[in-house]
Amino acid sequence: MAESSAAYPPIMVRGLRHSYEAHPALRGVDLQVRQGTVLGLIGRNGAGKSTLIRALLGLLMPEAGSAWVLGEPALQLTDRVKERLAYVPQQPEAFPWLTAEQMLRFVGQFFPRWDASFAKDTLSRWSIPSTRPLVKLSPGERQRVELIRALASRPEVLVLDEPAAALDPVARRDLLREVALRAGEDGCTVIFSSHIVSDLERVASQVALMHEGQLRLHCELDAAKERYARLWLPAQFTAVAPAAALSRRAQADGSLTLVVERDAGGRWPEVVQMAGARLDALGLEDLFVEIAA
Amino acid sequence: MNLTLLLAMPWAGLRTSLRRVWVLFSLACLGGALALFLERPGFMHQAWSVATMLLAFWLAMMGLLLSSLLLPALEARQLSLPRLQRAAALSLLLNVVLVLVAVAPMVWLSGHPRVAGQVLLLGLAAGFAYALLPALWILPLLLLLMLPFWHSVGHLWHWRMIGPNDPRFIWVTTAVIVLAGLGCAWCWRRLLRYGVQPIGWRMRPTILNFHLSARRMTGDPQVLLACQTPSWLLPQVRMDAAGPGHFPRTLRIALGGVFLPVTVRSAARQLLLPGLLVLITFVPLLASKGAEHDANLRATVLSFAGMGIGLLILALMLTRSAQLFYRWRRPDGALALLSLLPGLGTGAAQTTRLLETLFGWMCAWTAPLIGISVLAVMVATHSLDLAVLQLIVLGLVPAAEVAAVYSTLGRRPLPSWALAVLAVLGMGLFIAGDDLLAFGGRAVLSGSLATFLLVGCGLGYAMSVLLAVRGRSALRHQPHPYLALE
Repeated sequence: MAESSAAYPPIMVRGLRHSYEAHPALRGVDLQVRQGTVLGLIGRNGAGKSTLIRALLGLLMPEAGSAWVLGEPALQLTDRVKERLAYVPQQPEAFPWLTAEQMLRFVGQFFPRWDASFAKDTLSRWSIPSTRPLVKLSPGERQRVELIRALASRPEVLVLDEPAAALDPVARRDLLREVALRAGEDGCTVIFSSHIVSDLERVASQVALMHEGQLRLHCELDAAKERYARLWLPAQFTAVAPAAALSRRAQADGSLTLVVERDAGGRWPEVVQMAGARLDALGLEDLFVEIAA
Repeated sequence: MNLTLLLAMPWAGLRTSLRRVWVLFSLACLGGALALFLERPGFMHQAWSVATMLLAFWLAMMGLLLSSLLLPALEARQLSLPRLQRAAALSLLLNVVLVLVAVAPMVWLSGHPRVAGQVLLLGLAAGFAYALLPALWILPLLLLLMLPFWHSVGHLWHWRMIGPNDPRFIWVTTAVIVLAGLGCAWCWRRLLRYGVQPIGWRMRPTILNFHLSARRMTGDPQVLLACQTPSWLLPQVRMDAAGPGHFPRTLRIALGGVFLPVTVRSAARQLLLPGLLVLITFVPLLASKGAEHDANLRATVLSFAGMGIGLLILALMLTRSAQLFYRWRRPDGALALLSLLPGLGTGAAQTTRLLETLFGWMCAWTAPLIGISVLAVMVATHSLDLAVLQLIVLGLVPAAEVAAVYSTLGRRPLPSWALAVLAVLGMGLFIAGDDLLAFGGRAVLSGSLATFLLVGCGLGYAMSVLLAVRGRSALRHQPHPYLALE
């Protein structure tokens, strides 16, 4: 663990650009994640979250930019890094012809720090039929098997792409507890994409908001509520609205709603002081809706 | 709903690329059949029968396509839209009539309108039966339907084979068509009456099972099939000697499907049915005596060696290539795990190990089958020329598979129209090759049919080499082979 915390961040992304059939999915994304961080990646469907995750794991070749995992280029990871990395995709479809027990035994052979007793105990604790082929399990059960697979490898970097999508509330709570434990006790770095803002609020230490292929916000979770606010400007002040707003929406009556950010000195834009302007504090979900709507 | 909308209804659910492929496929089948019906004498022995089979195959595919109208009918039932429900049924009937009217002139052109007409109706009925009859009935029903036409089984029971020249042919085929039609209508009506839920998957039509699985799972046909298969029939994987350092076995487990190493018991279970088919075909023949024995044995061996093994090699190749394509199209499947699994090497070593596994498995299956086929042709015909021709035609299959592997791994898949052209070319070659083996033999080896075969093969080999080089070059520029097709 000490090695990864040394000179380089576990995850680093520079100027990532990618498009699908001329539709841009990533438009120059920069991201750096420190060791032990639980980064909640949030965004609407099609915002580019999964593409970003795939690019940073070397699962797709971006049109421009680069990504590094534990100091190695994502597209050329060596076994040294792969042994310390785990990924759970959005729709786990790997090895449906194996039973849960076979799959975990098979994959476990490749990871030197594989925790077989964790895998066995968790299978039993989560009541997953271990001798039934994965193809015969429900989507939620398959997702849980994938989570066990990822966690049992004792990774230093854990990447979860909407892992809670198919889980019931009890399983979701179990997952969040595991993620918090791994990050807190082992110093595991976690990237966790989700639509469920309350889940992120429970475990994330940082939040990154993606919208239309761009990373619109990346900060500490606690700071997000302090650092961003919704500014409402009546119609007569719209001309002086700050240009650097995270979102800008014109209302039917000519007024303007913006999401504004404190500057480096902790000050709001000057327009906030004008008579008639209104500044509202935002929760994470409101912030998400304001930026992504 | 107006007539145009009713006629267009089966196409509405198809993607644009599939529609294009369908148009090309139809043009190739109808054009090929028309050309064969109008052929000059001497080009192909019994060209009309080959053309009729081609048309029957097209009609079977048409039956499959039109059966998909069951899906909007069921959706309409769910949404309580009785007009739409009726429109689906009406569209089905209209399209069937239209298709039959379209092929009617060809039936007349064949010169054997009664037999050709019956065979075409059988083809259409087979397509509908496969898609609409309960999944559990399909295999036994197909075997049962084949019995009257199955030479060696007929011999066992001292039947006369019911061939096109048999006076009973019309009655038997009519009965089969009527039964299939009634069965399909019963299934359609039953589903629309009671809905999908109360009917278990075994009694649901195959087309509906595929549709429901596709909604639940991926588009990978093998995964869909596995969803439908009872657990005890699923392959039991051999997990020994898999892990770091054991690349072929490890990668075969990861790739799954036809690559899976299975236990002896599981393999025996999977080979039981094909083995039984071979047994009931050959045992009566070997046990028979008399003047017909040699001719029957020769015909059956040639049929198995030429068409049978050829089709088996082709089917295996298509299954492996399609499986690879689907694996590489799903970034969240085995591909992501393989890409991040330690111990499989990096960069070029990773690619080499994967290619060794894929090509090694391909050789292990294809080389012996081609060898058996060529040897059987030589023994049965005593002609080295025919055996060499068989080798050239069958050699196209592994050549095409190498091209498919490189195209997929290099992320340069063929456009769908090119796939359709290749499929039609392959089908034409097999039909021509089988015709040469079955009817022509040495006598027509120097004729235009052999020339067509050689030119077609030359074209096929050239295309395969071109595609393989194109894919290989792209693969060499990739950092690793597990990048998904996008």
